[in-house]
Amino acid sequence: MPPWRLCKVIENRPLAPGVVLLWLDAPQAARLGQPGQFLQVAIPSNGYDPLLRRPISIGLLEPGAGRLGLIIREVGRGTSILAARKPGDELDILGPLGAAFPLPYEGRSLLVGGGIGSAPLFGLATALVGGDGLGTAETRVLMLNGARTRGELWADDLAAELGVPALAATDDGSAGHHGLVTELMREQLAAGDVRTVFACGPEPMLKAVKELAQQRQVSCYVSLEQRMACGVGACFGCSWPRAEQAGGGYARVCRDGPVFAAEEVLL
Amino acid sequence: MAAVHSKDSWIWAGQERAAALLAQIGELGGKVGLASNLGGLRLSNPVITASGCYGFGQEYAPVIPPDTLGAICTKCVTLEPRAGNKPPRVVETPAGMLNSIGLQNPGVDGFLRTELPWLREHQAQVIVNIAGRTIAEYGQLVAKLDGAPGISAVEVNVSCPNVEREGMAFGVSAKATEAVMRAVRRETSLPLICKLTPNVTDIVEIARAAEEAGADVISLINTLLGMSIDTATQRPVLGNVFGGLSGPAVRPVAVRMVWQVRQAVKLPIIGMGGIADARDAMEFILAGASAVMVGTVCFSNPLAPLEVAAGIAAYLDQHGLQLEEAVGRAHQR
Repeated sequence: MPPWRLCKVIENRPLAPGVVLLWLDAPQAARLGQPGQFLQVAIPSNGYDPLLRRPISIGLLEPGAGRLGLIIREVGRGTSILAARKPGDELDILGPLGAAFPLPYEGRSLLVGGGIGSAPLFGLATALVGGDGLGTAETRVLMLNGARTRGELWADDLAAELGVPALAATDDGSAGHHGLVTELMREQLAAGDVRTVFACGPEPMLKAVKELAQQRQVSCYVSLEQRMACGVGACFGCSWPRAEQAGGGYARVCRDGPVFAAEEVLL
Repeated sequence: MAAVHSKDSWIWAGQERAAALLAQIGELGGKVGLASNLGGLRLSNPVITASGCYGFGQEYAPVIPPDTLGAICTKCVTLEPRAGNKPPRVVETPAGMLNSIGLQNPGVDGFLRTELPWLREHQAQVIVNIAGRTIAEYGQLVAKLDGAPGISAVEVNVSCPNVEREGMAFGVSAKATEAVMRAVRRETSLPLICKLTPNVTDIVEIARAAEEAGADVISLINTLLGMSIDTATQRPVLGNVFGGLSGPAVRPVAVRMVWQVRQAVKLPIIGMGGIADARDAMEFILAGASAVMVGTVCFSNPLAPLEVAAGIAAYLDQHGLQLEEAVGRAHQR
């Protein structure tokens, strides 16, 4: 199948067992991309198996350097093939696609990530840290990363490396808070200066995040993940139930999202 | 503050290639006779986007101008709006995919109000795909479409469950297919395409029934019924349990059925099922299809409709054939 746009893998950096950061030389996509958007990445194969592209969120954006970073967790055959790409290999990308995170310009933002859900938050985190908003990085953003155990807490390490203020939670207490990332979120909301919450992770986590934000009347945006086919809104495959007050029915995660105002979707 | 939309920022990589493909189609199209008339449906080239795979044309329009396609076959339209099935709705399978979208659509009135004006404005050749739950609904749908300006043909999806017959699909019975086609024929003089389901014992019997009832064109195949089970959760993957299989995996079944229908009926045929490139499309044309629909491949390759059309033109040119000479050529001894 002819590619949409080939780009070269610059670096494949393992972040944790089964998680890699793949840097791509993709100047146009890096220039057009915004935090929260995603790419439809074709899986290299000799025929039509695997057939469909995989939606991968844009993790890190460096438009000046013409490159972007995809943080990929191996969850099946397609993502395993992607995670094994080496520098110099080519990947066929279609994107950037979907709705991006709105950038807040005032107040403190909480970025709540669970597992691989931390990936799309990094573009936003680095934009907020490096932004020209008021105050310091610490007064603008705090990332809360949750994982099952220390070995899977790649997001906390990456946040430290990128200068993103962050706290961690693990299910087994092997690092950071012993418990759920949403318990950290509750503590932070109690401090009172948080204006916006951005979250991505497993559905039960997103549900808890939405409820906490609503209780505190803080704006909340969630990035959703769904099985996808086209990625551009044509097939209605990646539907997610819309909240009654937002009109009901189903929204398309690829086109109407993947970033939604939390009150817009059913969680 | 809403999420930030820059919905067309993906198109940058495709426009140049689209222009090159359109130039190739323009250059060879006249020479190899790409334009055709199928039972009153006029096509500038034999490639149509398949129902359900191309929405109502708007998403892909920034890369493929709608008026350059043979036709756009719309997502299925029903009498009332439908929310669609519970997710997950899609899952990949070997060289294919299963879908159970559940005919999510704005209903025929919504279609006429919001989708058709856009298609007209962009001068698309429009085939409206329809489905009903009862025979009467099919008739009502076509009555509403008849006379609406900008519709070139109606494709009747007979693969839907018949609520009057315990949910059995109309299209698995020759009698029910005939009844549906007679009901729609009464309501319009527009070209009527009957889209057959492959989930039958004898496709020929159904095709003959459609011809008998006044169909102008036969299109085939719809998806093959399948399912997939997640071995980690030990549950069906799709929210709807069953889904329709499409993609390259189904192509040999589709080619065989086009071949059989070609031998049995005189109506022009639109062939589809797993077409990914021009070579695949030529299989259908040589088996007896006068036009083809491309669907699932668009998800991986949005330029596929133009690539297939340009590739058909190149193939015909290379073999010194006109399109109409190639149709059904594999049947010649």
